[in-house]
Amino acid sequence: MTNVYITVGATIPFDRMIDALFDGPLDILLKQFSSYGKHSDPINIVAQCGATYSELFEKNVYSKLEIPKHSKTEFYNQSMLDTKEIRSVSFISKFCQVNISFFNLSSSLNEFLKEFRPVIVISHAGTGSLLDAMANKCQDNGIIVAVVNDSLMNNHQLEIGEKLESHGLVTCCRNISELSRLIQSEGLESNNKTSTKINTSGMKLQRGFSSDFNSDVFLF
Amino acid sequence: MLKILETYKNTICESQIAILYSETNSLVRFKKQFSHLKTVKYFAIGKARQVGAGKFKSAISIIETIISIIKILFVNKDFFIFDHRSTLLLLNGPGSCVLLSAIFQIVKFITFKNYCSLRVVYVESLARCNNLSMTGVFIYFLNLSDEFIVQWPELCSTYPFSKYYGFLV
Repeated sequence: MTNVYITVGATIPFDRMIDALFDGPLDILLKQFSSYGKHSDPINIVAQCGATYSELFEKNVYSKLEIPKHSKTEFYNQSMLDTKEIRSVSFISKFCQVNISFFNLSSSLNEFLKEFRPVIVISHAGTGSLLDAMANKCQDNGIIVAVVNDSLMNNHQLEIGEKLESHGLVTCCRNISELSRLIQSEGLESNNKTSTKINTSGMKLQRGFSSDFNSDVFLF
Repeated sequence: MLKILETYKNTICESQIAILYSETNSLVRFKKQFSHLKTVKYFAIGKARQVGAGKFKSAISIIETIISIIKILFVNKDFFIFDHRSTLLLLNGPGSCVLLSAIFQIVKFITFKNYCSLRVVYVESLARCNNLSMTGVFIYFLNLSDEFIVQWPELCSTYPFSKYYGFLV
């Protein structure tokens, strides 16, 4: 099972990211994804796309497939997402079985991700989404691609994206065209291999509950 | 903010909590995530500044927010000021925090509360690693908070009065 999770975040639409991902033939994308799993394992792609999920699904996935229309598919842990605003499709590609789901929002996303354990996460570079991704990705070989939404105020996602990249935690795409380049040719983690090795040896980031904070500041 | 509270949910579960929110979306998520908390009060305050708003509009919304905060404080003055031995104001982000911390510092001054009975804690967003956010700059340089927490060691060395305890989220 090669699980792929794609998210654009809950607050601001980021259709350009989805468009860039699925731009070009599906096979290239699927080949990229399948290289992270065992050969001919089924690929599950779950994408949180915001309110325009249905149009994005039509445009980027459905129109590219030659399958009988309205073949209703329910993929195995879809019920965990607990949402009605979802579009799914299953088909057999050149390599393997593929399941793709696009949905708007889900309030039980964390439970879902714990179960789903994605090997590949492609996320906008929002702090919340990246933290969720880091906590829930497949531990040994999972990778995270952070795509900076450069249309936001002060381009504020760039800072956190580059920072986490320098610690070797994510692959940072500074703009959409960088993402396209990764998908089309270079491979999802090629550009940060070197920086990973330099930085993670130096320090380890502590995350979560800090007893010092609790006793110094939080409690009286 | 939700993630910080999630991390410290065992610490806060005995406390009485007041949530000041300006966005119903986050409120829904809070209610879902912390359904086990019993004594929670909710107060809506305005946004001090809408994203992309002009100077004039911002000035109006700032005044509106100040009024709404003072109103809430006045109506619930027992809850916020007198009933409890100690009060913690935890701030995490938007522009309203500047107003909130300023108002609470005034309250603190008037009521002769000290550091141990009323504490204003500002936690800078994790997304800030090299410089402070606008809210952070105001609170840091006007000295509006009692504790100023950053989440990256680099920031801590640039701003000597801040404290660093690792990622809190």
